[in-house]
Amino acid sequence: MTMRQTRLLLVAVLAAGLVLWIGWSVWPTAAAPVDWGPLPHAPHIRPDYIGVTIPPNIAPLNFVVEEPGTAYHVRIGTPDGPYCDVRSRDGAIRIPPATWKTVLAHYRGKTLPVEVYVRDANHRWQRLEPFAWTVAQDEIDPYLTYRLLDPIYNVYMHLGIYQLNLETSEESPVISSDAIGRGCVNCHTFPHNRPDPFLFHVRTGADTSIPIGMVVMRDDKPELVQPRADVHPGFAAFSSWHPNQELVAFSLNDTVQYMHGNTTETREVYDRRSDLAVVHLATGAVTAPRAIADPAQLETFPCWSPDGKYLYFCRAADIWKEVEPSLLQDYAKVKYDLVRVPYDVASDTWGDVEVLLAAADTGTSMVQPRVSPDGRFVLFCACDHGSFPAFRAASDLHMLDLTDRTCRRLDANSDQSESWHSWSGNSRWIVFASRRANGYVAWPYLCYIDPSGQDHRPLLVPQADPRFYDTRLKTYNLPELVMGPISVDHDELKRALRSKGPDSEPAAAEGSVEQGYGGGRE
Amino acid sequence: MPVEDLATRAPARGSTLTRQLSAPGRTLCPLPLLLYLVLFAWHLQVVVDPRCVFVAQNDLFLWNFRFLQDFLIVPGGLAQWLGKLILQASYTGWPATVALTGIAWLIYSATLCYLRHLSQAGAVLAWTLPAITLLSAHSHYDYPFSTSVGVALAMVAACGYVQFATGRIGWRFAAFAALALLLYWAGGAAAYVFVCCALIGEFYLHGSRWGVVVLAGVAVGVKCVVDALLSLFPPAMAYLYYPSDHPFRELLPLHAATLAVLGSFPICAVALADWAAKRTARGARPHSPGTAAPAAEESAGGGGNGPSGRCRPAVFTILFLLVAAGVSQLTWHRDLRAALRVHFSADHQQWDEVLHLATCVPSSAYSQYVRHDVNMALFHTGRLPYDMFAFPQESEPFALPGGDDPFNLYQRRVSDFSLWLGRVNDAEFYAGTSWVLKASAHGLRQLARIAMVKERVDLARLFLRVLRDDLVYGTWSAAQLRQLAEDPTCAGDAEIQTLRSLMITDDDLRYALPPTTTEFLTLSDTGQISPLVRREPPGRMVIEYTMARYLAMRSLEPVIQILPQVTALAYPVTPPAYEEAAVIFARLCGEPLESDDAGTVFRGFRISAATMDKIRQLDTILGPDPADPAEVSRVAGELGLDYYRYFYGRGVSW
Repeated sequence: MTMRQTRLLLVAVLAAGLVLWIGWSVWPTAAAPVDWGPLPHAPHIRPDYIGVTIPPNIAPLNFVVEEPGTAYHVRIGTPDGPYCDVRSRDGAIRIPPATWKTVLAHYRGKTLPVEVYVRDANHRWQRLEPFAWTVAQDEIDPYLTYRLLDPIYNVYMHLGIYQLNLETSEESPVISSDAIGRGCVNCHTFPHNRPDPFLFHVRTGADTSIPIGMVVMRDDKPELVQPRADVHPGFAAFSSWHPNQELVAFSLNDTVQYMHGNTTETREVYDRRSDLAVVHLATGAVTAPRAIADPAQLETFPCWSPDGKYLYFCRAADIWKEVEPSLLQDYAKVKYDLVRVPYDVASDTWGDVEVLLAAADTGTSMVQPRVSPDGRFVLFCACDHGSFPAFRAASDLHMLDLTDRTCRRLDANSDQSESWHSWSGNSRWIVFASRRANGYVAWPYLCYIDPSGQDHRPLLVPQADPRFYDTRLKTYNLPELVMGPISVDHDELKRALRSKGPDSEPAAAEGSVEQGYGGGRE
Repeated sequence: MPVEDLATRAPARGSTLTRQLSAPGRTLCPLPLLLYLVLFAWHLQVVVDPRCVFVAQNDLFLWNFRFLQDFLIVPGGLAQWLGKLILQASYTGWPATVALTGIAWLIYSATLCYLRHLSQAGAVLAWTLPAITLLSAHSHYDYPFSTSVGVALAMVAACGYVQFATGRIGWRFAAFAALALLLYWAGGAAAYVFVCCALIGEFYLHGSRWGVVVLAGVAVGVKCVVDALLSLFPPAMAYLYYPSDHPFRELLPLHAATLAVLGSFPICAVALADWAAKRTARGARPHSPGTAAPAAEESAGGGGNGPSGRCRPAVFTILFLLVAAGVSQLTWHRDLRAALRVHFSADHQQWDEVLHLATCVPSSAYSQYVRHDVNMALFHTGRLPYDMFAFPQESEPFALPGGDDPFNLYQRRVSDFSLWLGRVNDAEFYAGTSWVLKASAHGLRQLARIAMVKERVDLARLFLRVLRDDLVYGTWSAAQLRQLAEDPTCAGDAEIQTLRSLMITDDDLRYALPPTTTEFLTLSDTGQISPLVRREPPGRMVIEYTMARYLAMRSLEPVIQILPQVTALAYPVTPPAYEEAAVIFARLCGEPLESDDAGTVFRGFRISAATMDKIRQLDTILGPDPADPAEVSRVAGELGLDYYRYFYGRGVSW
């Protein structure tokens, strides 16, 4: 065979491949089956998106049809309006993004019907009971920022802060532990869902030239803040921006982890000591008045109200004055109240602590308060004890309506842990991490909160690959809705971190072993 | 100038290609290479044993595109991926041998092709250096197969480069840049082998010093370009596997063998080219590269047509094979192989095989993990109380944290150990930690088993779905998924049911880490089985392991305390080690043994007549007051009193 013949053959093979590929691509858009028989049950789909309420700007809700069959057809919408037909041989439904956007725009504020057809072994099409998605009128913030890590016990290797474009399902890393010598990155915090400025915390790993500290990103420039208060030897953890963006309230946690010998959840994490403090970013000064740093109390999870007039937080009586044995005995007695304290930014004065919900009354430990941007609701976790609801299967989301002080458990809860929730900027959407899928790794769920405060059926954050979650072994920690993308230049970050030097003792030894302060932990 | 002489002898492209293709036997598989490949395959299969490499490296590999993607975003990732694919094949042994032998053939065919362009004479001789280096490198159990894959890519590229890039200098440089770029992306550090070979070719074949400088600059530029392009895909994007993001990162901490493999190719090339240049300068008869040089000359760098010249290739081949066989034997880690075979069998719960192989492990390789595997095998075969001291023991018979753990066995072993002791949460902790520290299919399988034991069906499914794409455990995983679909509670799974029945009933809290194995196996102050593994009635494993630990420690007081629980286990034949321990304890304490119609009794624990007979024989031989414990140990060994032999074998005073 001459060289010319070889080339011709190659071109012919490529052309045939191209034709086949185009044919394959076109085939899924075939029209819905005309001749079909009904099947009297709703389809089993994975993730379970049946009946969910979705944002009008969400990426395609790709899913897998878990019904026996030789081919699958899904129609989203009706012929009366724009609709989308997707056909699949293996049940994986990948919705074309462009068509999806058109359909969503048309059905905004309405109900979007979905029909699933399955072709059986005899080549007969059958239609399962149709279901519907409710397309909300209100958009969700387009970016989801979260920490991604293995379900860890006390060792981590790779973790990082990532962001997902909810409109396109594109994920990108923001900062990973590998970029800072296997250090820990955690507790990313945004002022009212805006991407700039924002902050996160860094803990020393294998590279001991990286100090512990709070990194404030402003105009894409990192600056290291090391808010070491004299309150106790903990390090800054959970933070909240004051609306003036000059104050940051943060908790100082001396966190310990214990291992259970015989319970479903292996880990028991709690604060041996914790207090709150406020850092003035302009001066670096740290204040920790008694109202938020009472030695007799464990204060944690600060959250400013949108007007900056109140600091919401959780507190429990400090019973850890005694020695370790009492700690082991009494860990289940620690239950946090939900409280707030007035603050006047002009005079820098604090008022008296007001108990919003007392653990003694509710019988639960109430932690992680997040005030909605419209100031009406406080969303928080209530669990049987402690301050780490991620490890408590009993942890559920509750919402306190500040207008009438009524509190209710969300219907969106499951029998597994729900925690790490945050609001969208318009107060209509929340995101939270839930272990409902398997009780082990937490994945992010979006939930619509209508103007009356009623929550709707939540949906697992959609991904481009319908089978994405089938093999997802990572846990999503602290998902935060943000209005735009964020970026961190790793080289600049390292320069900024090293500019202060390793001022603090490293919290983690050899880059990965975590035994305190909650770093690398969910 | 020698360089110019060689340059003028650069072959015309067409004629070289024709000759290469027309004499494939000569080019691709000359006799020394053929015999070498046979020796290489024998070395891998018989001497090294690929299954031991599998245990030693124990890496995760998933057969799906998402996993492959992780490797495509780092220089050398493709070679790493292929290396790990071959590692999976090593699980069954011979497929890896075939694959690696094929790679060796590719490497040396390409190397011969490349070397013959430098000089026909001496090419085969020069080729022996990397051949022997590669053979030696494969003796190391931590040698990454990706190095061989990368070198194969590099030498094929080098061969192609010197063969086809003979035209205009622009075309040559462009071909070099393209090949270097592809190689650096696919082979990582192996690209430097190609670059060196290309530079040597440029210098000796084309005689262009500035060409060498330009090519070196191009190579640096290519590296920068590839690094810049791949930096757009940071390792943080990885799905499950995090390949090292620097091509040298994998190599630098390794033994010299890896670097020797990479270095041997340019070294032999430059030595050959330099030798040929000097030889040409001395006026030796030149002949064109690619033409058929006299066999003797080709093999040994010179020779003639007489009888001695005709014999020289055979002599050379024999010598080479002898050297290769010698290197194979010299670099053979016989002790390590024996230990790794034990670990391989233990990983697959082939307990009889573990005990059989353990007899071949010399003391130098009898690590705490071998001991641990042997004791686990003894337990699972029901022989722990009987034959424990027929195998080497130390004061702690089970794996402990710390110490040398080159194969990341600690977390795996302790996880399984904890699972069988009923401490399922500890097993989960160690399996999870093992997964985080070094992802492996074995670890994933363990996590899935633990999830099934804890009746976390959805979680088990998650692990099994990932594991389904593993080439080793994929079939097992698919079968488990089917079983879970039919029987979510695993009621029909005997092993899961057994493990559930062993689970501890009380909760306890431990700071930061679960208790160590020594804590499990320590009696409480009241002489009871450790509360950490408390169940009613105590499991056989707990009792036997606690006994084993105290017997190994020569701490007989706790042994005597546990004896009533041993009686409750109703052994058909009372373990002689327990009986011997009771007698030793009685004598050391001066407590009398009681006799009744049925035999000898100590504190209610009956001692068999057979054991007492042996002890009486020992007394008779040694006399009433033996002074030397070593002598007691020796004689006890001869009489089959294993625990006596062990107890007195380590300098304990009589």
